[in-house]
Amino acid sequence: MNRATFPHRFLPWLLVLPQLLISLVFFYWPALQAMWQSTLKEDPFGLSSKFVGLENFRKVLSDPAYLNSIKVTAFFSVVTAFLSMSIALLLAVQAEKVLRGKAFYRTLMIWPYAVAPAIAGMLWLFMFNPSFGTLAWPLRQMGIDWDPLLNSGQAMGLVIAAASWKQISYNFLFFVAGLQAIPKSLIEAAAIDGAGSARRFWTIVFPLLAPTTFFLLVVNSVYALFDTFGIIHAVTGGGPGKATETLVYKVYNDGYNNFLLGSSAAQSVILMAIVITLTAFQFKYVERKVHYG
Amino acid sequence: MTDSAIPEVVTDTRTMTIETPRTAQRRFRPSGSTVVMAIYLLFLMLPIYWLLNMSLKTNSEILGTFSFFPRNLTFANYETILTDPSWYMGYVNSLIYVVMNTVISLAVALPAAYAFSRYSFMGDKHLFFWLLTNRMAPPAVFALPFFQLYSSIGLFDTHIAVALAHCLFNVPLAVWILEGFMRGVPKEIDETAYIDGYSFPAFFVKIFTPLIASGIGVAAFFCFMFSWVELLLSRTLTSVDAKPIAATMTRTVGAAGVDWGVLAAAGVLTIVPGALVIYFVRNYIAKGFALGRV
Repeated sequence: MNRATFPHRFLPWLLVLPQLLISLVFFYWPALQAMWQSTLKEDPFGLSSKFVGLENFRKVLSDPAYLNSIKVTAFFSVVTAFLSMSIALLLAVQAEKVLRGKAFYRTLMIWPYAVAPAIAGMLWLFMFNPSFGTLAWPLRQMGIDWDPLLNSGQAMGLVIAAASWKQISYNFLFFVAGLQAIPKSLIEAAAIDGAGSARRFWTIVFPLLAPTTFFLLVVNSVYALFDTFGIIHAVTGGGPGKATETLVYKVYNDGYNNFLLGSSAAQSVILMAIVITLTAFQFKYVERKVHYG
Repeated sequence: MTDSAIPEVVTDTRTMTIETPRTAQRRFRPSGSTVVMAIYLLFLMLPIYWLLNMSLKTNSEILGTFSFFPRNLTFANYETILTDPSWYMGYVNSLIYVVMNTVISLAVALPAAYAFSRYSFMGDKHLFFWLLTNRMAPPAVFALPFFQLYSSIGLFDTHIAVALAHCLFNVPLAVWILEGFMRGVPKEIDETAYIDGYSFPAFFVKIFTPLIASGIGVAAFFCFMFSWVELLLSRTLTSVDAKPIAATMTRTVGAAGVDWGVLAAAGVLTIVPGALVIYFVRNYIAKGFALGRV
């Protein structure tokens, strides 16, 4: 680190300067703006605004629609993170056994990166569209009254499926990497001691995977909380009713469609607080324990 | 090769599945694992296949019958998209701001990553992580402030507006990836170049950049992908002139009398650029994963 040779009193700062500028203009300034906005009350025409302190926060937090949105978000995030991680882990364990063609699987696994969340949502909507979806048809045959555009439980199921579908591959790649880092000798020793495969998994492999799991837990929470806007937007638009309106979707709706700027800003600040908490959590506990290769 | 090759000590048949790498390579047979993986790949591919299938059908066939193959193969849906400006301009707009964003992100991230990988200066570690946290910012929080900022300086509904907004997320990511790759380059190279009398810019462009080409490829891929799939900011910051394809598509979903075939064709076309980019950088990406920076 100290042996850098090009003259380096101002050079490093000069090199970092553009990034700092972007951070200031596009992160700190808007964040402060949102905070400031969250303390203002605007008249419906946006002509004047007055300072109201924490009034917006009080309103937001006592709004039944917001509390409902918190419930929706919590349910959606927990189920999505759990599903995408547990399926990915199951698959990673299987792939680990296959050994051959691992590169092939990996290449195939990367491609959902190319599918935009909005498109992923559409794919699932197409398959489960009540009038022509491939999989809606068998559901109908089974006597299920399938219409995700009207039934809130089914709408939620569809959104969760689409969101998990897109995230499984990412988790898979990390779990495979995590599994490869576990010394084979430990597992063999346990096998010789007579531990069955289920027992080997739960007492040796799973605990040793904890850093990876922990890391993915944070990543998946952030994904489910914030990056699923496109999926929800394409599949349900927050409906039916408000059944799939997550916090992020509500911020967008209130601010951009309903022009409730103060309320939207207050919600943004709350979201920001959630992100900061998750990030701090990640850096404090995860960065230290997850050892990158 | 039979299972009896494993010493008699192991009596429980369940433990036979234990495989050291060598034995596994010798006895390969379609096991339960392969079946599970095959099912998963099917699960991964089915939605895409269905999209492709729909895009090659006429609307009456999509709505009328249930079939795994298009009976009357038609390219009319693709023709509609490629000849109607309100459709194809969506792609052009998306591509313009995505490419702009990738170039800007790399131009900003390369020097910054070099500074973080080579120099120690006041607070560099903190600064590095502090800037990395920008990536975690939820776009939803920034949509409105960006909208107000751009409206006031007349950048609303321009390509550069979206490109710059995406930089907030892509620059930290690119710095993170590039810094990992730059660490792998021995510092002696910098020293030698300095002694040989290279100026810093000349060294950076002529010697250093080629050495981390694969890192640049990986970083470019992730910038491209993020910007290509991001919807919330790109649709909030544009209305007509720079409207991205995803916004055009989601607007039509749910509307009455939707042209499903065209929509499916549009979906297929949005996957193409990403798939192409993945194809070109697939080997680099594996390297990125090996570094744990992806």
